[in-house]
Amino acid sequence: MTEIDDHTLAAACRTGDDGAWGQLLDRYGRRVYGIAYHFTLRKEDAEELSQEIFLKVFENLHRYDGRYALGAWIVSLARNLCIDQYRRRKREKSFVHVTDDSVMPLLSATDDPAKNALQKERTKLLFEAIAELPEELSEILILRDLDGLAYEEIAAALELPDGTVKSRLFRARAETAKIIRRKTETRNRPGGWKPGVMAMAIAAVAS
Amino acid sequence: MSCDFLERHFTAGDPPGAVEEHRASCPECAALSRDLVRLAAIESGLGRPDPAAALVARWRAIPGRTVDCDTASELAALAMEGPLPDRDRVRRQGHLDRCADCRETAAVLGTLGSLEAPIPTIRPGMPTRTAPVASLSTARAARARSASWSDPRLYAAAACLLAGFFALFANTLDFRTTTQALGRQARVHWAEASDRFQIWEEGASRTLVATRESLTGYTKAVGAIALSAAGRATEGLFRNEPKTEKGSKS
Repeated sequence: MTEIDDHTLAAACRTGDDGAWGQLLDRYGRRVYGIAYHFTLRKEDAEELSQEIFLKVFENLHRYDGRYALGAWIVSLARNLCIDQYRRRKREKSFVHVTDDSVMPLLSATDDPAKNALQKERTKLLFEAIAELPEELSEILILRDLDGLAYEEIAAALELPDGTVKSRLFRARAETAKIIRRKTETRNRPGGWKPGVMAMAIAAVAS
Repeated sequence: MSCDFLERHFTAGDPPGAVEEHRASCPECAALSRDLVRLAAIESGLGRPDPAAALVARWRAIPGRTVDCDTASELAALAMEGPLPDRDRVRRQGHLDRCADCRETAAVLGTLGSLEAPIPTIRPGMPTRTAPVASLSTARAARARSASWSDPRLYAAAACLLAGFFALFANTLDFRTTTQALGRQARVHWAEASDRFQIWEEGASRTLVATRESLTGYTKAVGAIALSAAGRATEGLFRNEPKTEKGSKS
């Protein structure tokens, strides 16, 4: 099937065109999975959530009017499911203690074990800080800084004015920085966790 | 030793050896120190003249050269959006040079841009054709319909709503006042009805007496007995007479 525009693609999917549906999955599957993963930080949950999102997309295809890009529309449908999952996860203890397995798929491995260890610890710290943000801030931070959505897409998906998206994003980043600093200060106290020392220890063991 | 530490010692007026060492290596602090010494000499000799312009300028520049940790966090957030203006960039850098926690914070925030997108894996049950998606959707809708009324959470939620309603509006409704008002109204209605029946009864009694007097012979006797019985039966029905004891009636 040749590349077709969003509106035609949605219309073809509505009529039960398998080729169009496959193209829709190819085009937006990676993005949907990425969003689901960033909200859940678990492979199994992200897979299940992606399937839920695509089911919802299929059920609501008749409502797509082409006013927004299909990607933004899919994100808007995914948002509630992601937030539900996010709240469920927030109630669990594992949420505030991000595991190594959760962040490994997000890291680019290098030849330097110390650098890898440092990056992993920093990424865990980052996600732990995001977990402490209020939902209206964390969702924008995830969509913009982790999933790379444009402001217009986020505004359309969350039904917010562009200015609100920008101001919330600034607040989200500043709050994240403050939480990270607080956590770093705690860890840097005598006897606390030090990422540099940890990385040096790993490098020493590796060498 | 950092410059801000040195500034504290300058103001304390008793620089230790480490301060001297820093002053030797830092031209800015050496100049500041010279100005301070000169100012101290002027103050001791001539009372309190205005401080040297260069010294004032340096004092004024101190807050502008750096920021606190919270402002550094906000500047970090701004820096993620794009390059900072020169003044903010210098102030932030001035802070980062001295604050290890904020340096680490900046490094952690920096990982945001370097993270990889997770590689999607297709779930075993994930349909890639529309027919299975449609059947999955129908099955799920049927499950949701059947489950909705049998879900005990629904009833629990309804009970909570009801309890919440009473908890919120109990004061507004003021049940006691309402009940008293209703009771008062009922008593008024009953008194009015009682008066009306009394008037009707008196009218009926007069009619009975008039009819009995107008009858003659046997008809009069039978009619009088019937009318007397009816009169006795209705007498005192709606009249509020005081109750008498059985034994006291003569």
